[in-house]
Amino acid sequence: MKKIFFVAFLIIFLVVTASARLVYWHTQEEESRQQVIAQIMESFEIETGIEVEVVAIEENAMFSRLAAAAAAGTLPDVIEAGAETILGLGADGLLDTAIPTRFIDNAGDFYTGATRFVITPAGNEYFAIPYHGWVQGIWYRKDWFEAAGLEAPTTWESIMTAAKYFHKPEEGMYGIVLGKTNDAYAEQVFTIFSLSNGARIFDKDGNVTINSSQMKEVLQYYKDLGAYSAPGHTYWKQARELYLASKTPMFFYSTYVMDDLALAEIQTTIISEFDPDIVKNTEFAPFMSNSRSSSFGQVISLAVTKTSQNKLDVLKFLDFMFKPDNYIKYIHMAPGGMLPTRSSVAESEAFINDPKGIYKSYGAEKIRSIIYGLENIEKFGYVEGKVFPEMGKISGAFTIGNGIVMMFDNNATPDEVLTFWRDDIRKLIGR
Amino acid sequence: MQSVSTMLKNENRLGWRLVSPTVILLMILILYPVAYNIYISFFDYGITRSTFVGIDNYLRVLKDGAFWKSFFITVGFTLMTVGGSLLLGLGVALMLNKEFKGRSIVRTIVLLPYITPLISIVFSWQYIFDPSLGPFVEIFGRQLRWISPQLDLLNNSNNAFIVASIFNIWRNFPFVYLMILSRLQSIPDEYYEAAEMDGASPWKKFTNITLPELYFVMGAVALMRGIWNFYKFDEVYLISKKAGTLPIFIYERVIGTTSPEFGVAAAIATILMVIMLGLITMYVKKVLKW
Repeated sequence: MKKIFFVAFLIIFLVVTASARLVYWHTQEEESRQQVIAQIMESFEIETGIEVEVVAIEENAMFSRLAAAAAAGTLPDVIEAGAETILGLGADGLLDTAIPTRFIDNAGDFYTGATRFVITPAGNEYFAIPYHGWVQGIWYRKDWFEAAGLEAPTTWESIMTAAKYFHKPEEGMYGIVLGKTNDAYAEQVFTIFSLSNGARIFDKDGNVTINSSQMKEVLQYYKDLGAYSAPGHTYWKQARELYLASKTPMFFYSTYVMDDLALAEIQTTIISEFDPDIVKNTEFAPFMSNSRSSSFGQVISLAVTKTSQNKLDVLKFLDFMFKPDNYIKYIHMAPGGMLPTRSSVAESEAFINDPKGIYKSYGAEKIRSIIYGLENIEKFGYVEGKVFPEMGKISGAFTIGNGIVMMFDNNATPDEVLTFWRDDIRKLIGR
Repeated sequence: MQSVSTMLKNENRLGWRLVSPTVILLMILILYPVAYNIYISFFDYGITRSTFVGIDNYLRVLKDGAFWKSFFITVGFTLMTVGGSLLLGLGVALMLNKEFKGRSIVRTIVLLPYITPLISIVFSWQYIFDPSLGPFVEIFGRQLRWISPQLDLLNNSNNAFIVASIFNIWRNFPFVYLMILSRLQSIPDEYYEAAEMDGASPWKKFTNITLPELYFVMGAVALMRGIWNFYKFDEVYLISKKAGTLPIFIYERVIGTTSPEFGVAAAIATILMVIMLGLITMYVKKVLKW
């Protein structure tokens, strides 16, 4: 009897340990994307015999889920996440830097604009491998601007002039749609204004310099512009709806909006009637200037956890994910929203030919100019090559958005907001 | 022959054996999470490390002005919603206890807020009150000009708490109504007939017969709704993240942040548990007289 038990135990043990299994966490929650990821993972399993457990996680819940997984000893092997999350995980000492560094160095064709966001504070290694990214800026009605003889909204002055010109709230037309609630969108929109005025949260030595005269100017401008913005605590949802319904001439959005503008089947899920001309009447301003020029965007990367026991399998997994066919299939899940981070892919014909023809409807040249825009994106947490993972905490606590809400809900002055920000940041990062 | 005491002992032992699976299950499902929560409240609990910090987390919470603000908002929310839903539920139950044509249809309609999926209701409310696209501001703001066309009822941090309370009362009064109505229907008609013979007015009948008969059911419903609403997260968070009640406060400390403070959140949960236990014990003794 004992022998039978022993043999059974041995068989189970061998089966469990012999069948390699990778755990992959990603932040693509939409069902349609999960289906594509499942297909790609199935091909990987067939090709390599390595089983992959795929878990979709809301990015905001990433840290609490990781803490729970760490306590249960079930940390994933590979994580797909945005720059701030990667920085936070890296700062917590959770990420393997050897694999990403070797991978990026060997490939040799990653855009430096993208790798900047995964570099370690020491500057000699990488926390993760950039996989895809998006650029954010103002999308505007080129036809309306031309008819009114207005300049493209790329400077503070031209944005204010256009917002004033178009703002007719009694007719349901709003000059612009700003981020006015305490969420990531408000911080993103505000970041472009701040950086275009040289206002930062940290200087290159890591000192908190948020209460600067430049930042005060930004707040005053944002508040003034708010008078010509759609009412209420607007965020990306209203911005997109109002623009598609022709109720605003400009709004802030990432390149994720490209399919909403181009495809009838997607546009009609947001507004009732499809406008076939909106694609050709829409222009994108990927940068903003005041005292200097700046762009905003995000880079999503693949990180490997230090605790992973399957490093060899992880390498196979990364190779597979970056194979041109698989890579392009992955980033074609969201044309516009997932721009490649490797020049060899960005320049390939296969990439421009997405199955729904979205890139073609904008034209290859325009798409490539947007991708090159990835090179120039800036964020508060990165200053002149220095990286400040503390920004993850500030973003996570929605400090910027809370200040904006104070300004619009309670008519707080820029000085009051600056005092609030300074105190909140001190509470969060201890300086 | 077994003595009586041995038989009793055996019976006792059998009793314990029979209930032990339930007791063990309860221990695992209730006591373990509570004990673990208390345990981690003494730690600075991070992803890669956890350090014992003694009662630091408790001191931090008790000294935090934001916690107390949130606490009093939650107490206010609980009192307002329990009182509101009790009054509304009682009123509707009294009206629908009378016979009239179409009563069964009205009774079904009254239940709709409670039985419709929460997420659909929330989206409807958000659409109706959206200041740029919704019909409420379009009609009363831009066309009739009764209110400001800038009015954002649901998301303004100054009034979000009131809107969340009204939403909660509207959504949950059918539950109270159901409980009260079922009790109302079991009050014998003879009581009212006897009171009528004594010449009692409708108000006298209400205060001397109906209310005393409803006392315990209303007390029990208030207790249940009180506990549920004190910890209410989904309805409040979905209708307005700005309502600032304690469950949202805890959630933002743990989930909506890149530096979750599990220790602090556990300390808050423990403090709330102690406060709630105290209040419930007092309530049960004084009001429900159990």
